[in-house]
This record gives sequence, C-alpha cells and structure tokens, in this order.
Amino acid sequence: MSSRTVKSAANPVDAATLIFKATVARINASNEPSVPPGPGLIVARVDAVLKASPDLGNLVGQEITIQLATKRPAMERGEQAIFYATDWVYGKRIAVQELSHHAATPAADKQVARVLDEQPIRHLASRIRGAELVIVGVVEAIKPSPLDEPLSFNAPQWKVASVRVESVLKSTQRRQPSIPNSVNVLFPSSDDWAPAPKFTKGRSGIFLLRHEPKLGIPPDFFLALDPADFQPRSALGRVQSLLKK
Amino acid sequence: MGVKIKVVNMVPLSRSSETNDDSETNLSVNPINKRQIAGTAFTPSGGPNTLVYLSKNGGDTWTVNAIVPGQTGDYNTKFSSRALYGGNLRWPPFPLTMDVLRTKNPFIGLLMAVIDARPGGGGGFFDQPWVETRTVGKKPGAGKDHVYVGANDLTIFPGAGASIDICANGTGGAPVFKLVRLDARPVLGQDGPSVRIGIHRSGKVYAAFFGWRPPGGRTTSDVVVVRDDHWGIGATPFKDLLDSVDLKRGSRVVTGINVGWGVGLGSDRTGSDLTLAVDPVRASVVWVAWCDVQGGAITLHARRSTDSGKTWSGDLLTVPNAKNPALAIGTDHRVGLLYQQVVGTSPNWRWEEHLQLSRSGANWHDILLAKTAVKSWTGDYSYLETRGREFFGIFAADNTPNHTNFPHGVHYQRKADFTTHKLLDVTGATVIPPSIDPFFFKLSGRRDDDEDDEE
Repeated sequence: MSSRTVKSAANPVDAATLIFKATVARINASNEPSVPPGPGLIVARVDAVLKASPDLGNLVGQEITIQLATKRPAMERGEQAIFYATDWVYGKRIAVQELSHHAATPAADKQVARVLDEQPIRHLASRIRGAELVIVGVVEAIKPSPLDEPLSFNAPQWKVASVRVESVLKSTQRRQPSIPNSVNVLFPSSDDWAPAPKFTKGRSGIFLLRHEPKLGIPPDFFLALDPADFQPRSALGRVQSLLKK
Repeated sequence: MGVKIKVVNMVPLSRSSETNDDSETNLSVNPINKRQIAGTAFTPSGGPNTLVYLSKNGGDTWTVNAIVPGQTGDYNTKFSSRALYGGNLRWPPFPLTMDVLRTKNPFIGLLMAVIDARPGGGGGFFDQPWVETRTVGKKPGAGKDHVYVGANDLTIFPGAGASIDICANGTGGAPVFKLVRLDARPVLGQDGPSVRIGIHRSGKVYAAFFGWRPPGGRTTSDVVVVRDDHWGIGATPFKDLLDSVDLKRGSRVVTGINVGWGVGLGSDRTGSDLTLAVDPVRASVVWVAWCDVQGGAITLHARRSTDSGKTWSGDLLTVPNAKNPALAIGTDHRVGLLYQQVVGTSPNWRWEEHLQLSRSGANWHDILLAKTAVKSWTGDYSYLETRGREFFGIFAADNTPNHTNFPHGVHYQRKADFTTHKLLDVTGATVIPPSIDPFFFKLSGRRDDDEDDEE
C-alpha cells in the first residue's frame, strides 16, 4: 500500500461530492464507454462509500472510472486509497474527477469519518461568523412583503416573518439597541428557493440573520437564506459554544 | 414510406436510483452532425456544476456530463456548426447571474467557458435565458457564430425587459455581447419571462415575447413578434417589423390576452408558454404558438404569417388544457407542434404528449407520444427542432415503465421492469419510486397521406 498523497488546494471533504475508499483495478483504463481509456485514468472497485448522492445508489462492489488529479505519482494496481471526487460523467458506468486521494489506513478512515461528521458544524460555524444578528425568538406573524417584486418563476416570492426576540446571542450592529423587541425577516416562499428556511407562525428557534444589499433588500429587513440559518432551540448549546470560538 | 418514431428515456443506467423531477427540458442537434445531441433538464448533480445530457449516436443512448459551471435556476444549450453554447441563470451566490457559455466540444468533459455574464441586481435578474445560435454560411461574416440569448431583464424592473443578448462572433477570442431591448410599448410593471428566437440562414431573425400591458392585471399581455433582416447586429437591431395598427416596432399577433399566471394546469404552473419557428427555406413564413386563458381553461393557439410577420392568420390550431408548446418546421415546410395536454378529471388526470404535424395548418396529423400520470412538476417548457425533414424533440414525463404509456414504444437506459411496471436500482435489487424523467424522441419519414395537405 502506498502512502503517497495527492492534494488539491480546497478542503477536499467539503469540495468533494463523492468520497469513497476503492482499490485500483486497472491503470490507464476506463469502464465508461463514453470516456476513452488513457493516461491519467484508472478503474477502481469501490470498497466503501463515505459521501455520495443517493441518486447513485449503492456503489459498493461497483467499478468506477477515476480521472486522477495528476498523473504523478502514478497509482498501482491493487493500491487502496480514499478518493475525493466530483461529478464528471454518468453513463452505463460512473466516471468521476478526482480532487485528491490518500492512502487508506485505519487511521485515515477514522480521520475522514470525523471530518465528515464535523462538516455540518463547520458550516454552522461559518454561518454564525458571517451573521450580523443571532437571536433566539419566535415567529409571531407572517406578513406580505412590502417589496414590489417582479413576477418570475425564479422569483423568491418574499414574505415577512415578524420574529419576537427573546434574547440576542450576537450583534455586529454599531449602535446596538438594548434588545430589539422584534425583527422582520424576509424569506422566500417559492419552492424554487427550496433550501432556504420557510417560516410559519409559532415557529421558534435560533435565527442567524444578515443583510443582503445586493438583493436590493431595504436595511430594515434581515434575511436567513441558508438552511443552517435557522436552528431549533435544542441547538442552543451548540450555537453558544460556537459563538465563543 | 411510413413514419418512424423513436422515444428514449434519457436517464442513464448508472443513475437508476435517482428520483428527481428531471423537468423543464430543452434540446439541440448539431447542425453538421445530427448524431450529436445535447439536452437539458433540472437534474441535480449534487455537486458544484450542472449536468447536460449528451448523445453521440443520434439519441439512442445518453450520458449526463457535469459541464455547466455553477448551479442553475434555468438553463439550456444550443449547437452551432462550430460550438455548443449555453445560457444559465446561475445561483448561488445571490443575486442570480446569467452566464453565456461555450464549449467547442462538449464530449471531452471540460467545463463550458463563461463568455458573457449579466449579473442581477436591484432585486431582479435576467430571467429565463434562452440561447439560439447559427453559424453564418455566406459573406459577410461567413463562418462566424451568431449567438442570441433571449431573456427578460428584471434588473430594470419596473420596465420593459424583454431582451436579446447578441454576439456576432461567438467563437472569437473575446466575444462581445450587446444587449438589445425588444419592447417598444409601455408595460404594466414588466414583460413576461419567455423570449423565443427563430433564425433563418438568410440573416432574418425573429423573436417573440409577451408584452404585459396596462390597464389590465399584471399579466394581461400582447404576443409581439419583432424581426431583424441582418442578423440583429446592425446599429438599430430588431426594427424591421412594424405593427400595422400603431406603427410601433413589433407586430402584435394578439392583444389583451390573459396569460394565466398562477392559474396552473395538472401538476404544473402556467403563465409564459410561448414558441416561435421560422421556415428553414422560406424566410417569410413564421409560426407562433402561445397559451392563454379561454373560458377558464389554459388554451394553446397556433398562428402563421406568410409575409415575414406583417399579418397573421387566425388560430390554425386550438387545443384546450394544453401547455409547453414547441414549434419547428422542416425543409419540406411541414410544421410540427409539440405540447402536453391534461385529459381526464382530477385526481385521475393524465398528461398526453402530442406532436401535431401539418403543412398548411388546415389539416393536422396528431401523434400521441406518451400518456402518463400527472404526479409532479414537468417544467415551464419543452423543445422541438428539425434537421432537414426529421423532427427531434424532448419532453418531461412520469417514468413509470409501462408500454401502454408510450404508444410508439420506448427505450429505457435506466433499470426498469416493464412486466411489473417497476423501476429498479442498478443492481436490480431495490425498487425505485417513479419520478419525472426527460424523454427524447425522433420522428422521421412521412405518412402516406401527408401530401393530401399540400398547399
């Protein structure tokens, strides 16, 4: 087993859409008919899947084609590695583009599993760092948006959640009021903006809020567009812990 | 000679487990190699880039390649003789940006290059980008790709945003695009999302759009056709067709219709169903079809002009409860109109996918391509085009494997059991629930009685 490692610049765990442990079966080869075999390509048998879209089903035991990030150091037949990859070609078989790989060892397996487990926390920490206002609150009312929004199938179809503030966990506003009684949170009601949190009257939890001036939103409205921008009350301890870091 | 129809479920074997709504389909056939075809649908990649369906064997088999940079809110691709171009409403980040994309070979797996970007702003964006292109055959400009990206520019909301982003040399080193506004009349807030373009080899370029007009509701609309006789690249583009009544730019095919925004049909939304096609031989012959509300029902209308858009026929085809019209015309002057129609009563609605063919518009030959369950969203458009006398099209439909759903047959690449009517994962061990898939079709040959309709 080789200990050679190929790295890409970005964090491969976050950048990769597919992370798997596989054993090299053939060098300079492809098992996807639309991808001609050649240098820089290998076919590997998947031994374990660490991260993958459910659209791909169970990949364990399947052979997939990998376009290596670099041609050197060369991989060898029988070599087992953990590959970080992104989508490339879906045909009769799957071909992926490697971001990086490293040797598969028990320690490496644990390390990857740990980093994957921490991925949501890292994302939440990033959203907390970028938030202007983090509050615990409850949605008291849903109101129509005052914005004159163009009609489009891609439009957010804004609505306003009037959120009663119970406590402020973070505020970057210079002239900080003591504690605002309530804040207006614009949120997209359109299904086309599915990942963004949708609010209903009575929903309570932790709101990670910011302004988005590029969207032409007036400054008296906050937004929460990322799925992580709303957390249940049960996540309070985690959020407070991340705020201290 | 009889008609030959081929229908193919485009989802490849390796994605047999997917359950997405792969809806809102579009298609392009390489004009110099009709075995090369590109298709688009809302098929999520799960990664940073967007997928394009590709075939190198005339649509018999398909791969899905992640070659559009970024994720998408709306996109399509079109071949010229020299490249594949794309229009993509990219997000995130916000606000949404319209990218114009290019690759000289989509089959080698490289990301398409961004050759123009129109960022959103002020709460708006360039809505529903729709790319069309043609390589110029004769001087001046022979060999250059003219690229047209129709869109509704909502960054100027409130205002008339129907526009085309035009480039006279798409394969150049640094393509230059010029944004041309199309609507010369006052709008009530904005135009509709759809801008559709038809390019004739002579350099005559047509475009159709919905001009939303006062004093009605926000979606009371005219269907307007504009024309440019010199590829749309002169100093005053798209001013070659004036309305015979108000003498303003753009011939009004119909005025004051209700486009049905928010009305809905089956499982789908409605409000911007529009298509245009120019006869590939006779540049003066152009067809338009749209949907509006008639007696409470979404209704499709098709009309024709034989004098370059100056005057228009009455309805040559009217179809109730229909949407997603797509027109194309063959070199034998046969017009094809693809659409989907709801039949039956709720909750037992069915989508019927029809291809109607005619030469004069007087008699139509109706071909039923699919009759499938109404379960989920199929998208805001589908597409049809011709190469010579052959029709190539794409539509989105429920993928339950049942031969009775496809009267002219169907080929599935993904794992499917037509005996039990079950989809299966790639190993065949797990049943996969039905969803919406893109379906390619090709029609070649003619019916024996086609000549009965000769003009």
